Amino acid sequence: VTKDPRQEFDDELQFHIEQRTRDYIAKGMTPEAARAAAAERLGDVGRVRQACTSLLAAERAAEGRRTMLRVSWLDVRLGLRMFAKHPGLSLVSVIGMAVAIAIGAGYFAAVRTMLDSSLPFDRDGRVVVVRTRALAGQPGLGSGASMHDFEDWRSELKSIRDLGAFREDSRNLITERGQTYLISVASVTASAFPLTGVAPVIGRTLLPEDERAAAPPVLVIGYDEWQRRFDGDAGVLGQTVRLDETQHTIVGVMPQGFGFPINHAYWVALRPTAADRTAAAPPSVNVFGRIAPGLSLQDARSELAIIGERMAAALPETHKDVRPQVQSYTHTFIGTEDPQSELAIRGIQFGVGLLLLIVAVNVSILVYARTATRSGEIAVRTALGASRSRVVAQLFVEALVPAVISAALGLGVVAVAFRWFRDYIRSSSDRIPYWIPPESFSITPAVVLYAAALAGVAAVIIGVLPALKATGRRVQAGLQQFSARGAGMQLGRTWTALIVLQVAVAVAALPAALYNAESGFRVGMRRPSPAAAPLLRATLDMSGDRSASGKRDGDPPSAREVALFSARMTALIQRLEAEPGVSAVTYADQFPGEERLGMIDADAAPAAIRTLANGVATNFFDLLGVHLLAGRGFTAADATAGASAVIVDETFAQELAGGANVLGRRIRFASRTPADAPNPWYEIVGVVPAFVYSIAPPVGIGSPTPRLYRAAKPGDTLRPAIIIQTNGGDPNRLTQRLREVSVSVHPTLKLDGLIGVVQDFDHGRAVFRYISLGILAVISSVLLLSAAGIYAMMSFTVAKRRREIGIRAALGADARRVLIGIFGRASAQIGAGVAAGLGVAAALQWLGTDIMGRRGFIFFPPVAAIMFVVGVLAALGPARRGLAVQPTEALRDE
Amino acid sequence: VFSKDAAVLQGTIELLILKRLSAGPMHGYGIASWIETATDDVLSVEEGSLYPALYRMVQKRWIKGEWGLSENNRRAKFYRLTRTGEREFAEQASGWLRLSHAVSRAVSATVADRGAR
Repeated sequence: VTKDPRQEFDDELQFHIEQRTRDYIAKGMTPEAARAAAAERLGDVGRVRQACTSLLAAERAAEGRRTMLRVSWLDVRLGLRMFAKHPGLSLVSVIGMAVAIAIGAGYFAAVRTMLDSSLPFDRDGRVVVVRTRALAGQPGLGSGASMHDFEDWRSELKSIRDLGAFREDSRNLITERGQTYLISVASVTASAFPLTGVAPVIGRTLLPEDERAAAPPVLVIGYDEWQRRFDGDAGVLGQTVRLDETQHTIVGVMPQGFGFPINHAYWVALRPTAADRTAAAPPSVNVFGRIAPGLSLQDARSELAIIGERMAAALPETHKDVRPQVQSYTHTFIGTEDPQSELAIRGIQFGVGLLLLIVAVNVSILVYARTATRSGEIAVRTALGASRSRVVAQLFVEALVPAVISAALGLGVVAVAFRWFRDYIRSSSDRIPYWIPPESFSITPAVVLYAAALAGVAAVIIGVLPALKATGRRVQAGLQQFSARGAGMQLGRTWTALIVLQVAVAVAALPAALYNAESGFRVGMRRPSPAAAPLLRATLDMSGDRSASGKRDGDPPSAREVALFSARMTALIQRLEAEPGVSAVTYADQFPGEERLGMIDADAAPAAIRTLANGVATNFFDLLGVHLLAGRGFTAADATAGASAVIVDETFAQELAGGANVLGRRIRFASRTPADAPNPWYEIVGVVPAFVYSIAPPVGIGSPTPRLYRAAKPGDTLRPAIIIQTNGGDPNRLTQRLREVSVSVHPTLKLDGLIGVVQDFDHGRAVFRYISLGILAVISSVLLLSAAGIYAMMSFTVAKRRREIGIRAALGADARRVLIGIFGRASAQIGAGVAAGLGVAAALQWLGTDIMGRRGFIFFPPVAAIMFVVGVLAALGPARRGLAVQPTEALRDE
Repeated sequence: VFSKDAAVLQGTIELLILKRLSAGPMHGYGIASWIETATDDVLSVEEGSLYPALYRMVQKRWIKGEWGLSENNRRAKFYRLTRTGEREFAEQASGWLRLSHAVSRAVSATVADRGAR
C-alpha cells in the first residue's frame, strides 16, 4: 500500500512518539509530561519531516523506474519464450505480418519519395506550373500552355516571378567528329537558370539575348553528357555540334545532378515562331515560375483567375472555354497534379494499411486461442495481485516480440525490392525526374519509424484485444474452472462464426488473386520468339522539320509531305539493308502490341469485333518468323491504293467463325455513327498465329485480342515502327552505326527507342514476374494465416469437447459414431464457409467485376479442398486424444 | 551529539544502525532505544535526526523499510539489512575497529622525545 510520502513519515513518527511516551509513563511520568518529553527528544520535527519527505519521494520515483525496467524486461523474456514455445504460431504470424508490413512500408517509402519530393533549389515548394485547362464539359487541350498565353502571363503576373517556359524536343546530336546520338533537348527560356540559382561548371548558361531569332544558336550541356560524349574536355566550349539541321555552339556545362526542367542534359533557347505567338496556337510549352515572396499559392490562384476572365472576354474565339491554373511543379511532372489523384494515392496507402489490420486481426484470433488456453494462468496471476493493466501489458509485450521481428523482416524485404527497383530504373529508358534520384528509393529513418508504428499497431491488436477479452472475464470463474483441465472461455457460437467467416473470405478472395498471380507469372515466364533474337526495333520519327514549315504535330500530312516521307523512308530502308550486319528491314504502322483499337463488322456476323489493326510491310511476317496458318501473304500489289486484302490472326478467325474457314470472308471497319458512309470492304486472304505475344513486351494478363493486318507502304504514317534484322550476335552493338546511317539519309530522321526486341521483351516481362511474386507472397501469407486460424479454432473447439467425448466413450458410445459427430460438425462449419465464399465470389462476378478471368474458377476446388483438409486435420488430433481418455479420468474431471 | 555534530557523526550513526539491524529487523524507535542503551546514553540526543539517516540509507539500498506490527501490536515500519547493507556493515565495522584501535593506542601512548630519534 503506497501512501503520500509525508503521510508515511508522519505515521512512522507517530509510532515513535507513542512508544517513547509509553516508556516515560512506565518510568513514572504523568501522561502530559511524558508526551512533552517525548516531543522534546525528537527535536526540530519540521526540519526532519521536510528532509525525510523529499528523500522518500526521490526513493519512490527511483523504485518506480527500476520496477518498470525489471517488469518490461521480464515481459520481453516471456515474449521470447512464448515465441519459441509456439514455433508454428510464431512462424505463421511473422510471415503474415512481415508481408503486410513490407507492403505497407514499401508503399509508404515510395509515396514519400515521389509525392513529398522537392526541387533541390526549392525545398518549400514555391515553384509552380501555370497551364491552361479547359472548363468542365469542354474538350481537352492537351497539357501546357500556348506561347501566346505564356507571353501574356509573363507581362501581367505579379504574384508569380521569374516566369519561364520549356518544350521538350527530340533531336539528332551530330558532333564535330561525326558521331550521332538521339537526345532529348529542353528548349527553355533563359530565365530558368537564375530561377534554379545553379551556376555552370564552365562557360555560361543561356541568356535572354539567345532567345532572339537572329542570335547565333547556342547549346548548354549537362555534366554527365560532357564526360560521356565530349570526354570531359574543357575545350568543348566553342565547339559546334548539329542538332538535326542546325549548327549550335556549346557555350556552357551545367554541374552534375542538374537536370532542370525534368531530366534534361541539353538546353537550347526557346524561340517561338510567329505561328506559336497567335492566340489560336495550341499549347506547346510548359510554363513555370516562383511565387513572389510574401504571397501564397492562393494569391497566385486569385490573380490568375482574374487574368483568365479578362482573356476570355478579350479573346472569346480562342479563350472562352479555357482558364489558366497554377499547380505544384513537382507534382505536375510526376503526374499527380490533380488533387484527386494525390488523394487516391494516399487512399491506397490507407488501404495497404488495412491489409496489415486484416492480417493482425487474423493473428489475434490465433493468439486469442492461445490466450484462452492460458486463462487459468491469467486468473492465478490476477489472484496473486497482478493488476489487469499489468497482465494486458505483459500480453502486449509478448505480441510485440513477433511484431518487431516481422517489421525487421518486412524492412529487409523492402530493402531488397528497392534494390531491384533502383536497378530497374537505371536500366530502363523511362526517365524519372532529376529531383528524385534512384538512390532516394531506400530505407530512411522515417520508413523505419513507420514500420515500427505498424508493428506497434499490430501488437496492440494482437496482444491487447485478446488480453482485454481474456482478463475482462470474471476472475473467480476462471479460478474455479482452473481445476478442471481444458476449461476456459465459452465461445461456441463466436468460434463457429469465425471459422465460417475465415473460410468464406479465403474462398471468395483467393481464387481471383491466384488467377492474377498465375497469369502474371505465366506472362513473366513467357519466352520471346526465336525469330526475335537478331531483331532491333525503333520508331522512325519523320516529323522533325514539320514545325519549321508551320505544321503542327496533329495535322494530317499533305500529299507533298507523303511523297517526301515516302522517299526518305524508302532511302533509309535501302541504306540500312546495305549496312554490313543487317540482313533485312521491315516496318509497320505500329510495333506489335501498340496497335490501335477498332471495331470490325463482318458479313454475316452478328456483332462487331473489337480488333487491333495494323498496317504492315509485305515482308513483315517473314522477318518475324510468322508462318501463315492458311491463305497467302501480302504482295506488293496489296499495298496499292484500293487494294482489299487483309490478313487476320487466329484469335480474330476464332471469334469470327469459331474455327471454321475465314478465307474469302468480307469485313470492314464499323462506321463511327450510323449516318456516316460505310467503310470499304476488305477480304481476308490469310490467317496468321497470334504471334504478337512472343514479340511485344507484355502489357497485360488478359486473353488475346483479335488482330487484323493491312499491307502498308512507306509514308503511310509519320512515325512508323522499323524492325531491323541483324546477322546474329547482339543486335544492340549496331545501334550507334544505324543512327548515323539514318542521319546521313536526312538529319531530321530519328530512330527513337532503338533497342533489341528481346531486350525490350525481357524488360517488360520482368515487371510481371515481380508483380506476381508480390501477389503470390500476399496470397501465401493469407492462405497460411487462414489455414492456421481454422486449425487453431477447430482444434480448440474439439479440445474443449474432449471430456464430453471421453465420457461418451466411457458410456459405451461407438468410437466411429463419435468421430462422425466431430467431423460432421467440422465439415458443416467449413462447408458453410465455402458456400458463403462461393456466394460472394459469384455475386462479384455477377456485378460485372471480371476478377476471375477465364481460368479463375479452376482455383475454387483447390482452395476449398485446402480448407477442408486443414479443418479435418485440426479436428483429428484432439478427437483422437478425446477417445483415448480413460473413462475414470474423464469422470474425475467432472 | 545527533543534533549539532550530525554531519560529523553521520558515519557513526550509519554504522550503529547497520550494527543494530545486523541482529534483525527493527523499527526506528527500537533503533534509537538500542543506541541509547548500547552507548550508555552517550549518544542519546534529538531522536528526530535518526530518520533522515535511515531514509538516506534506504536510498543507498543498504536497508529496506517495510510496514509490520510491533511487539504491542501497533503498525510500525521495520528496517532490515539488504545484502549490500551486510557487506557495507562488515566493511565499516572493521574499518572503524582498526581506526579506533589505532587512535586510542596513539592517544594513550607516551610521546617520545623528538631528539631521541
